[in-house]
Amino acid sequence: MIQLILKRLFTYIPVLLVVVIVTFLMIHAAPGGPFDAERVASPEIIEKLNEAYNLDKPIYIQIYNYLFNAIQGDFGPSFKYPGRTVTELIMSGLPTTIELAIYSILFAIFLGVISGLVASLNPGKILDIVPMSISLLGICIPSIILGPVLVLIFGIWYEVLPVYGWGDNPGDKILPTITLGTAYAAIFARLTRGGMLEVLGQDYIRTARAKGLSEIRIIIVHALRGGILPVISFLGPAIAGLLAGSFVVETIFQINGVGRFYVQAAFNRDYTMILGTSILFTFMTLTFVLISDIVASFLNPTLRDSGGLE
Amino acid sequence: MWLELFQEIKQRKILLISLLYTLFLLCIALIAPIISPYEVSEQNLSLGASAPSLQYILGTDVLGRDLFSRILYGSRISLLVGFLATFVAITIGLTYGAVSGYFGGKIDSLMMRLVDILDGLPFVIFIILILVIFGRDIYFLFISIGAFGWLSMARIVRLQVLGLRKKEFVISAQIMGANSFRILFKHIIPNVLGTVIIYSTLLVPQFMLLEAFLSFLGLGVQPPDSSWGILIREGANTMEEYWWLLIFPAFLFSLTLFALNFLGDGLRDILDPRDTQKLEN
Repeated sequence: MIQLILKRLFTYIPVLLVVVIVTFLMIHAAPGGPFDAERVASPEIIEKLNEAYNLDKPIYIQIYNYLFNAIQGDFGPSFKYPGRTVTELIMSGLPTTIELAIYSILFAIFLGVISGLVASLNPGKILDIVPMSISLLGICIPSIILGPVLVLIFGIWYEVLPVYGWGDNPGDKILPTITLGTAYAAIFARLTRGGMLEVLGQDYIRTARAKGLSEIRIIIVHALRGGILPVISFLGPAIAGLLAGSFVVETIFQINGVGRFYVQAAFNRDYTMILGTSILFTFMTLTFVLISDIVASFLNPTLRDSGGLE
Repeated sequence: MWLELFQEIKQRKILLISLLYTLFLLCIALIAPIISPYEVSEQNLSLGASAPSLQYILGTDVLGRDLFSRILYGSRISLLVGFLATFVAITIGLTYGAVSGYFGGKIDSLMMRLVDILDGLPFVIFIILILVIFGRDIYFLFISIGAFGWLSMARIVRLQVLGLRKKEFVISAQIMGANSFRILFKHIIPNVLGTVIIYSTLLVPQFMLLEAFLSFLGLGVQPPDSSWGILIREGANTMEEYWWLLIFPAFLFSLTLFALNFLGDGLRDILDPRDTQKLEN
């Protein structure tokens, strides 16, 4: 177990490092310096600015400096918001984004696992067909459509829910959570159904039945542990997807989270901000994939030997 | 193979409908300039946004442009990006997977290890990064989408090639002294092409969605070009007064994603009946 974690960490750190360096180089190669935007400054001033931001040093020193500071949580100053550091900006949005992601994933797990469970216990019946058809819709309707349509229906036509902000008005967390979580609820429902159907046909379930255990105990204690495995191993990629989805959802609902900052930074070509948020998102994605791999191999011993990669 | 495939498709109604819809959409996109009732950028500022009427069947947008024509033209760019990105992904994935599967051993495990690692990275971030650095250009859009979307294709091709490389015709080619390059491109790749094309039908909706996602954020296709992502973005911005600007493009886009997903999954099920976990159960 520990060996597995160490093995994964061993690839994890170099990958992160390579990503940071490649991103840094890409941004460095971008046409146009950070200071030749709006106002025309004299060469001396640009020189001074470059000196102040260490841009006159060779590239490897810049990378080294950047990495060294980044490890300590300092992503440098924002180019577009003078006087504010990237770390400050990120920290002001991160709690919101994380809260949004947690609500959405809980919503998705709750709705998805329950409907997948119900469907798997009634294969071929109406309780299977209806939730599975709805989940198909959920997969095929992307957040860029679901979000605006929900706003149109609940915010504009019926005026029952607030349509912007996060935590400012009562109920304004509902629509963003649904928008971000629905697609994953649909996928979880299908994964749970598939996983449960496979497990319910296995010998150890028959043994449990033969022992005379109650059906509820069989399902909750014995079947669900194996049946939910596909969901667990998809959790990592799902959270990664949620983080990317936060770009859209935070933009639609005007939520000041990291996703919206990222999109705005991409618009403004705020290079240090893009760099910082990219690294943050990569870091979080890799971490969640790592965690979900470890949890999955913890639940399913057959995955342990292969290093959890197959 | 193609005849059997067609027989199978005919038996599955949803699959057949999806196929017909997709073909219909492709035709429409091809002849969009002929059938669109108005010039796509023809503005009628005095008209402004008008609700659907006999003259403008899906209404007009704030600048008085006919929504129906814009959707027709938008389908061209959306489909173009979807298909070209798929083409890029196939080209990379096919070559990579074939090389990895054919040479096997250390090369194979190293190459597949790289695929595993890349799979864990947040691609949307890198695509946005590329678009920011090199400019929000439609060419960079589909190249960057394709450049990150080839991983699953490489895996599928590798598995196929692993099966093929021990077949007699490959071995006899090796005995006759053909070099690896020739064997790969002359003998192996043509044999996996059918599978590749069928699997790539699943990539098209994925990439179209990605394009719409980026265009929605304003980072993909740029106005005055219209794509479905752009139309949904504009619709979402003005939906308070003009609901039709959101509803029609959104409905069409969902329908198309639906059809393409069904088509891809259905074709895959026919080809590989073991793996029927995804959509059509």
